[in-house]
Amino acid sequence: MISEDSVFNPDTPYIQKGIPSAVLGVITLLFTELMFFAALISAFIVNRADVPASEWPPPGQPRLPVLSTLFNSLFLLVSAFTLALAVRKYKKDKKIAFWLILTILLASLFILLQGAEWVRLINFGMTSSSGLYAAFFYTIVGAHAFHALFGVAALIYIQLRIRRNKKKNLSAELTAGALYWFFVVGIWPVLYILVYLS
Amino acid sequence: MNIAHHEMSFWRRYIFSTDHKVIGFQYLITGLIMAAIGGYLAYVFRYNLAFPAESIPLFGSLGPKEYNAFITSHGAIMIFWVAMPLLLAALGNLLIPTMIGTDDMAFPTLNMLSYWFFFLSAIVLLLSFFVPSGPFDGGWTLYPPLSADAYINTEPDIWKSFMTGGTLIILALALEFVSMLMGGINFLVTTINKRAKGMTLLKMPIVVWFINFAVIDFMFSVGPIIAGAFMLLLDRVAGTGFFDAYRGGDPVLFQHMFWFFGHPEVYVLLFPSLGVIAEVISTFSRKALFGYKFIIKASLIAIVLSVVVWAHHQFIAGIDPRMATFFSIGTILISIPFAGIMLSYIATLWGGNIQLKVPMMWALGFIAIFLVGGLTGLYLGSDTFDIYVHDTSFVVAHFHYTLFPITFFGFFAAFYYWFPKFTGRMYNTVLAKIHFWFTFIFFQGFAFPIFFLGLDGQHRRINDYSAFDSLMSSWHISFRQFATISAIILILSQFIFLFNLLKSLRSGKKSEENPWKANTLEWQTTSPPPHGNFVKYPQVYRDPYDYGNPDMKEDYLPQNKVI
Ligand SMILES: [Cu+2]
Repeated sequence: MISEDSVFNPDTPYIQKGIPSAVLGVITLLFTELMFFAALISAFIVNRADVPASEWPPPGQPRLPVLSTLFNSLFLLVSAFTLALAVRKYKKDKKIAFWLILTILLASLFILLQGAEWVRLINFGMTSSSGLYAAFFYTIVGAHAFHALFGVAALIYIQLRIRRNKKKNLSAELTAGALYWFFVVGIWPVLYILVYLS
Repeated sequence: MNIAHHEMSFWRRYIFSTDHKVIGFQYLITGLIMAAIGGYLAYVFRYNLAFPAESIPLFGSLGPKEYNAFITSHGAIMIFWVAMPLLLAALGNLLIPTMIGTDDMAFPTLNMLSYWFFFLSAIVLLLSFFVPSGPFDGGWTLYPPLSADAYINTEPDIWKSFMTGGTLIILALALEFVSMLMGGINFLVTTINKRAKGMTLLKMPIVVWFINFAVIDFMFSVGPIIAGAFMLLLDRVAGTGFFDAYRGGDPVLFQHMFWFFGHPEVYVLLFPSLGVIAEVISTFSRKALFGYKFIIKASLIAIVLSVVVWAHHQFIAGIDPRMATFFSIGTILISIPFAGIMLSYIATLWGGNIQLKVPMMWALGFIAIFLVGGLTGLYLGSDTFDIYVHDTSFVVAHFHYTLFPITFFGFFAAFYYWFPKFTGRMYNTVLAKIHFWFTFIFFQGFAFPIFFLGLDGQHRRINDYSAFDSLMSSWHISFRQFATISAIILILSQFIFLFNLLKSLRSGKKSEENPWKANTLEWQTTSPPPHGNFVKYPQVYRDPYDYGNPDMKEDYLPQNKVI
């Protein structure tokens, strides 16, 4: 992923040898994202520590769907593998539509199933104002879902660009989008263990 | 350099422009307009403090709720809508591409979006002056429970709670953070990838280093406050109760999330300002910056320390005293790298061939005032002293002695230094010097008496002290009036700047390419630089501070000059 030192020509701006801008931009963004989730996680841990285990989840509130969410998570994890395959294949022959679209479908399936869980929980009477337990669940899982939606949008955009510019080398854009998606997938197990299992 | 750029409509060229110079000017103008609003608010509540219960000229009468709304808005505006756009966004946009010798940012469209997010955030904030509840009045730090508004919590009505000052300011802040994040990513990536040929990291001008340090500190600390603002917003509009102690939440948690960002934020503003001062001092001492590498290392240490000192704002919030000691030590330690940087600047002056030009006066004024702010910071960093003066005017005087020089002396040093470069015109130096002396003297006249009032127990955020006999002796009253009259003259003297700015833009003398005979790349192109900044992109051969080289005929040696 290291670009070549551009030849110096005083008529065009010089580009330093190194990581392509799109990839570097996403890396710096993810650094901030990591701190964002770290803050949510620490807020959760601090509040959770004050509540006895018998009251978490509070009596009268529905239990979180631990198993069905674990099942949903599989789609998310597999989407990271299909995307990794797409990135690897792009370097060889650029024909990655199958793997990229499969990734987008798997990711969308995860988001849809999560949305269905939310509808069920709300019907059980668990709303954002029914206590800290529910508030943290919706905030943390919601923040992740928001990132997942953004990630899927980015992958769709990249797929469209690759289709339109068959000749152009878009590996920097693809890598940037993939890094973002790997972050979305990578942070999920941490959130799952914290929110669903604690 | 690029023919496609020539045929652009007015809108593409000046409004939705992706050119870093236009965006820099957009930030600059917006920041100055917001500064005028923040200054007007300061005038109103300072007048009220000196002459309570009197009708205020150009305003009317000010009630206690409005008083608190005005100090809250003044604080928030000056930090987030004046200092941030002027020091970080405007300077970063104007200076980074020109100083590293490239045409534009790495992501020009993102850069344009960054400005429009910022513009939107300013509008959302100003909107809060026109909603029924008025602007938020619980202090710029947005502490719950005041900011979590228990009345809205019990029955969340999304639309009603959106149209309150409290919700609008949180929303405005969130938008502003997103905007600065987009700008920051651009600055970092541009600096890493688009430097001119031959410009290694250690050949970059120090101000480029410093703006990027500000970005790194910002990006490290902004995540938690975005999370905190998000949770606070949900408390208000969705009734989540994160910070509502009655429902099991923790109001002090917000303070941690706020100050984890809030303290580094001071350095986010200080770094660009320090960078400007370094450039100016080196140029007008005709001498290399003393300890270039040391300054970079000291700054890195300061960045690391900056994220482990935040709880010094919370010594009376009921935190564990052992934790308070830890944060006290951290706070006092962090003054060491900054003291080192200050000493490097003074050492740069030492033995230099000093030219007391206008930007140099602002730079020296910065050092003089900032040292007082820094020294009183040492006192406040110690929890034993801080508990005694917490929330008094002593703290107000301290942060004005730091943030005023950072924001205004740093900005004006930059303004008077780079104005000829980016406008192609020279300003009136006599007016500029009068502007300096009025600002320097009347700032001290305003902020210095407040130290004594604070030490004597004058609590802040109170609009009228007549109920407190111990604060109503004749010296208390005359100190408050002296501070207010100085503040009014300080504000009025900014009209000298405004007049000079407008007049120079219209009819100022044409400026040369390199009026200060400086070495960095932005001076080696036309004034103002063309679209794309350089006709021929430069190649760099040496570090930026090669002044007074005995082998040369002239006392300066531009970074790109071939010998
Ligand atoms: Cu602090």
